[in-house]
Amino acid sequence: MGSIVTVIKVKADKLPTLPHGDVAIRLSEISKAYSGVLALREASVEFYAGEVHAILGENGAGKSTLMNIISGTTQPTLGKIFIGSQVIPQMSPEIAKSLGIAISFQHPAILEDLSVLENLRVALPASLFDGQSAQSVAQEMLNAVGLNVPLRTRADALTVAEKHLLEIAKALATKPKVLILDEPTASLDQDATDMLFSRIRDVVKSGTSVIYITHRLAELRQIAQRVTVLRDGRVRGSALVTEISDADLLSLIVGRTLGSTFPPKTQAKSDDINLSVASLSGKRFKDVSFDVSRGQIIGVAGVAGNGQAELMRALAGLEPSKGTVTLSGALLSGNDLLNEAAFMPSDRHLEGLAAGLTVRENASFAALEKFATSGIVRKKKELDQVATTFKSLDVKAPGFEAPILSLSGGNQQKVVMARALLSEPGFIVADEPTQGVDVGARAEIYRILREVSSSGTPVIVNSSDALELEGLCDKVIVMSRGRVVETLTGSDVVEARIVAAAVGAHTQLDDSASNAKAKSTSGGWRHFLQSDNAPAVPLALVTILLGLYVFSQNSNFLSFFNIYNILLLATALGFIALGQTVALLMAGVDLSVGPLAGFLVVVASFFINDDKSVGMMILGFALMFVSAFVVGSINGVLIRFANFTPIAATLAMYIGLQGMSFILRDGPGGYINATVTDILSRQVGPIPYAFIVLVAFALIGEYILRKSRHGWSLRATGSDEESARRIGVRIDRTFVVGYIISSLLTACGAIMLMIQIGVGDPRQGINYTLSSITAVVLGGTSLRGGRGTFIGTILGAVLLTEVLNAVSFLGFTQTYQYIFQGALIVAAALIYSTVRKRASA
Amino acid sequence: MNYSLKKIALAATTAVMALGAAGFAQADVPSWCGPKKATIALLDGYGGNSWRQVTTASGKQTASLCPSITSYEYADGQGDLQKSISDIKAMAAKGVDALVVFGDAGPAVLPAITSVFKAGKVIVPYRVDVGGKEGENYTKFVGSSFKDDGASWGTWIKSVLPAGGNMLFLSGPAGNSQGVDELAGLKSVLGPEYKFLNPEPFDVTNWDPALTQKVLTAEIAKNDKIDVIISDFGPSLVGALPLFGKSGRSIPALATSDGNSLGCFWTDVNKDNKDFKLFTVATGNDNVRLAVEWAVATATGGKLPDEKIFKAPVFEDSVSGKPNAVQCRKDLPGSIYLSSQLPAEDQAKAVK
Repeated sequence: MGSIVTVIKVKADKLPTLPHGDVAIRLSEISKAYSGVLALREASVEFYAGEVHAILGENGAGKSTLMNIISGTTQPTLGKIFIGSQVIPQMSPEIAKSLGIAISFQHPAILEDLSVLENLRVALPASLFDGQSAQSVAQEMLNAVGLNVPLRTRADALTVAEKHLLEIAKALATKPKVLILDEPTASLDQDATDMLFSRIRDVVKSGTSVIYITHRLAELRQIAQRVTVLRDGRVRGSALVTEISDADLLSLIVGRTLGSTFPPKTQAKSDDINLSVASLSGKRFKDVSFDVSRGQIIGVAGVAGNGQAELMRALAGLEPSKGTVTLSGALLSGNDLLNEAAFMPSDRHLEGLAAGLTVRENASFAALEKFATSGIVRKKKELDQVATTFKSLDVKAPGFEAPILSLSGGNQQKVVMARALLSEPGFIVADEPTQGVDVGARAEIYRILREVSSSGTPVIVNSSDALELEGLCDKVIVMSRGRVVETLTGSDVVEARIVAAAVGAHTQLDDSASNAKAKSTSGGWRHFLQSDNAPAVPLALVTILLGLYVFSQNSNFLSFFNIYNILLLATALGFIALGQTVALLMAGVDLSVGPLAGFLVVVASFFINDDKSVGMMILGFALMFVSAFVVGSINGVLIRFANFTPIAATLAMYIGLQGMSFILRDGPGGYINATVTDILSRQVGPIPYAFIVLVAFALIGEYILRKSRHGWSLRATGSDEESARRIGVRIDRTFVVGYIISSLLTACGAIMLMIQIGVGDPRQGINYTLSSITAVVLGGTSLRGGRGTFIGTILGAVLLTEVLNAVSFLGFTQTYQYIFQGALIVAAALIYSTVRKRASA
Repeated sequence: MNYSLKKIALAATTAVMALGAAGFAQADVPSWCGPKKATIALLDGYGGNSWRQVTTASGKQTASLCPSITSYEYADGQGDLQKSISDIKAMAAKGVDALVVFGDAGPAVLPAITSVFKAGKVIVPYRVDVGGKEGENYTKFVGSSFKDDGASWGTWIKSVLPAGGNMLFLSGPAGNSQGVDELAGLKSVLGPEYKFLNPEPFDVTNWDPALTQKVLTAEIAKNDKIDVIISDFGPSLVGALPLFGKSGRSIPALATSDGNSLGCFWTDVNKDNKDFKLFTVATGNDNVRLAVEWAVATATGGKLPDEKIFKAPVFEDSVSGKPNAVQCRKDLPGSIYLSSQLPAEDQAKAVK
């Protein structure tokens, strides 16, 4: 092994005349330790301008760590980074960005709650959009990578491949000096891969240094000029691609020569059909039929996005379908499919693994009832079974109780397989089982699938890698536009035939692409239903219908006096709920808003009295906002810099502020100035001016949220903190500023509370914490962060206040008052969630 | 109707109570009930305990004595100030003529009360001081003489502990005006030889039996010698008092307000607790009656009551047996108040 390294180094050294550009980026003796384990050891690599430099290595070899260090998301423990001749002492995502380093992550840093356009705008410098309309600039970026989706589509509606293309579009858009592509083709079909390669060649021509991470040797030959191999965190060798053979590269990667990657195919010519699919149709696929004989592995091939993924999900019972599936003579219903099929999803981070659970739990949770006696899991049985399965799959894990994410990608995938096998399924549906898995682990996975198949369990594999299907499968169906266009068996299962069949359907593909475009332009209403503001419509309807109903019972309900009272009460709650919306958008929560509002009124009660001068009163207002600013800063700092969770930090603040209020006043006291109260409660018609101000705040907030970098950053932070950090959002600052805004809006609410109660009372305000969260959630803001609406929040606040008023009007008994309030909130929430479901269907 | 006379009659014997109630139904239209038709609403800040349920039933019964009252409504603020404010304003908007308000939140509901008063309604806050002025912020405030209660307790304490001693005073939420007034009454009678063990001005219990138990447990552990406990919500002590027995001490003397559960508790355990003397003032459910009378009189054009403030009479004294010995009705729920004018059986229905 060592000798090979030497040989290659010699080879590289023997090429001093090799034409290359300037050194774009140089890593000098970089080491990185994670809790004592070295992920990188003294790695030194030079990347030259104007060439593609591939990085090869198994998962866990240190490639991702290397990339993260270059892009500034990870700080090296030791070593230096040079850009040109300049040392970068402290790399960060923002600095990397400013130096012209762009990265396309293997797991795209796409924020699912933001639209495609917003994803581009939050990640890219504003200067790129100067001069022309943002839409046209963004459209060009998408065209450059052949991504054909409407700009306003929410990113969670994109397929994995589309997310990758969007990620690449972001990286290319900045015309970077250094472009890092981490497994960019992992989920792309041949067309998209070809298009990507031609784009890469373009940028290389213009002098960009491309760092290309891949598992596919064939790709390496197509696109890269130079290659560096990592293993166990060490650089094992660098060479020109033309100077090194595949066998040498493989032995550098895995440290041994692979004989044959694929296990032998089944020899038995069995007519014993154990799984039969007939005329199966579903979303994006139609009339699919095939049989699986005992011992056969069936492959599903085609250009990505032609219904293969949907077919796999339907076979696993995860999506509805029509037609028949027969397993060993028994007809399976949709529910049976769910029970019989073991599904290995293509996106294991999203669907395959429960990130919070341990290795053992991830492996066994689908099969727990098999280890259980009358509902109680027998731990020993579970451990034994898991141990046996892990042994047969050769899972390398530090221990059964290790967190699942501590495993390398290949081992994670093996745990997914272990789970599939432990549940003793009727058949196995594997969607892209080797995506993002290193060469060594791939061979293991092929072997396992073959063993399972030989033991009589039917196996269906979808793969975008035709060569993989050739090596693994006994039979391959090729799909195009949702239909089976070719079924290959025996010696016909070769890459050339598979690709030919898929490419032969080209005209149809163009057809479907134009259909997709037509759909996107006619979907205005559909788009609105998906938008953050959609919940506002049913909420407004409920508010109006309730109003009309109570009006029909007692016409005084819509009197100026009553409308004014409802809106005035709603204004205090509305401002505080706006603040709460900001916290929830960041996937946080601000429990301190209620006591803060009460505390600020207590503060005001010392200054804003009848006997005080105007100056004192202005000082009182100023102190309210200063106090709010301080409280918000402390909340933000505790969360970001003292490692408090948002609940813990704001709960501590909640209790602290309560105490402060009682220190300032042990009972009600300090009547608020009557003139101030009069001015602030003025009205035009039935509408308080303060309410108009509230609506204006909400509209301005909406504009900032949707159209400005601050708004995108806020939502990006809440949507996915890790991704947001990787694209260069300043998370800490966003959080602290967000909590300050939350507190300042609460101060506005406190002013309204002050004129409502007219006195400094340390006991008041607390209820606003819960009612503000209720209003925000009712308004349609997600508790998980990332998506929300200020307009919905205002409507939520108005509805809550209206309900309070209505129950008095309707003269309900106490019991029914509670039931009515609860039922109405549930009804509103149901309408809203139904609308959203329909929109995404 | 002569309010104080009725009460004296009531205090004389519990047997008269049932008769008194029977008398209510047949009585002529009371003088405070005028000819003008009107609607009335009772608004609670927090209506979730038996005391409030008995009070609400008392208010309703009082209003029903006046045929000019065409409807009686009730709203419970559920302990939420926003709902209390909303209730007050909504009742006025709806067209109710007279409002009787238990303003739990104190001065914080004054702006809502004022806005309703300025809209031309009759509004009578009672029992809890909401600040403001009669004729400017509301029609009439019908308070309770909590200071007198404190003085009654003080006088009795002096009679059972002439040489002074250690006292523990428990009241409701922090800073509530009732507790502050009661303390003033106590101090007007008791000299410095009577020492308060609790922090100034009182131990905070929120009138919540669970919190009361916690507070009392801590005080019992902290203080070896407690001679008398003073509380303005007697029944809330019942859960914690057995702790004295567990630590080998006698339950001390108790100056408080009445409740069936407390009376029955005393009846059960006084033989084993030589120091357990009990003195109660009426718990004051009848405060609402005077408030309703004021509201109805103003709204219907009746004769305004002579009484301006509710004075809770002394109810039980285990030492003198005057005006009553300790009362217990084991056949009825513990959560009723035998001092109330509302017949015990009606109360039992109200608290169900």
